[in-house]
Amino acid sequence: MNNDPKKDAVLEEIGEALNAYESNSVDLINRAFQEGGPQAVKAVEAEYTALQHAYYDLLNRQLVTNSATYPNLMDQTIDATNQIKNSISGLEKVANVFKAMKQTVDLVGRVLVLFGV
Amino acid sequence: MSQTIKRSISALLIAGLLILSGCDEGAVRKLGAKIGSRGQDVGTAAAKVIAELDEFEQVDYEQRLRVGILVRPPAMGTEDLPIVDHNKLEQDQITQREKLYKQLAKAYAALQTLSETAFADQSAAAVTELNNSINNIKAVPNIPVGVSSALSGLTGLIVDRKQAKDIRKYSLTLANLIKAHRALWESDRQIWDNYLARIRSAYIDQLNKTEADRFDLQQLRKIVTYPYADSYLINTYKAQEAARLDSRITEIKEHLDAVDEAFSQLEKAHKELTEEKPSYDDIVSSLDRIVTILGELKTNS
Repeated sequence: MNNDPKKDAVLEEIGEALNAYESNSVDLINRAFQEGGPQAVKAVEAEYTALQHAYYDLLNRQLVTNSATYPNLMDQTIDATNQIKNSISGLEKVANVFKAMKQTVDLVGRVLVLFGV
Repeated sequence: MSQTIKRSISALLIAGLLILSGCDEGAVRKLGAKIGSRGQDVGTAAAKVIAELDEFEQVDYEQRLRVGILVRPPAMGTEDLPIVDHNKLEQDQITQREKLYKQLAKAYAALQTLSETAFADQSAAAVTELNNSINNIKAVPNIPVGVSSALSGLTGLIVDRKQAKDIRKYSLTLANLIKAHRALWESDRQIWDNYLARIRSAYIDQLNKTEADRFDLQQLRKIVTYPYADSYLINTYKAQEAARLDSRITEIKEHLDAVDEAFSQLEKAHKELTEEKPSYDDIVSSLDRIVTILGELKTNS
């Protein structure tokens, strides 16, 4: 990964916070319920969701960064495909030229027969 | 007499040249076709692994929703569900990658067609037919048999050489391309590892702490396949769930590794083919290795 150390450190910290929440979610939610009822539970859950968003946002940014490192890869791959296809057409043309010449010769032959040459 | 000897020597030289050049170019064509075929396998496998990662998002969502319900205190009631969002990887990026690897497979399909098609035979046959047509015109003198066959032979030779030259040329193009594809694949790897680790933690860490009163032992007995007493069922179920998820994650990681290794072998094969004196054995060995790696991938999934 073309890593930005700061971004990596933040990703690791958020990951650790999420891991800590997940390992203790039962206790945290029970305590929140005892102290503030359903609203407090929802608030804790919302915090957890926000942390997850932050984590996935960083993963997605890294995906975008990686794509940007190879901006022309798709175009280059399409270009290579087209070049190979053109080569195939070029090689096919050789036989096609002789086939066209044969048709012309056949036509000339028929004309000569027609006129009794 | 001396004319006849000269003609015979010329004919022998042409035949020898055709045989000699035919060997080398034939080998290049065979290898080009093999590389084309293996390259398609690699591109298709890469696109498939990306699709697997994408599909895993739904598994993650369902697991988090389930465990989110379980960790809530019973006194909260079951009327409203916890808010659980889809933790999606950016769809544009996923789609872009799937398309990219599918396009790579198309490039290799073209290389296979370029290598497999007997353009020289097609051209030689067209020249022979042209000669026959000329010979059929009574007003025109027949082309001597020797000249006629030399013409079609030489045409075939020229086309053969051009074809081999093109296969080598595009092998070099694809070699550079595959290097970039592999670099992207390796750059993305840490993201996939983090993504998979996150999915595991979000479900298994929470499930492991879920209290015993959330489980129905009678129902659990139907799911847990081990012959343990009721008091062990809950923990055994949790272990079974962790093993199930770990097995799937390991499988996806093996697929990611397999594609990486296949990219590397493909790169090696290309590099060897572009050498002045390529070792055909090394190329074939790299390509056979791809068959083994990706074959294992197919067997495991």
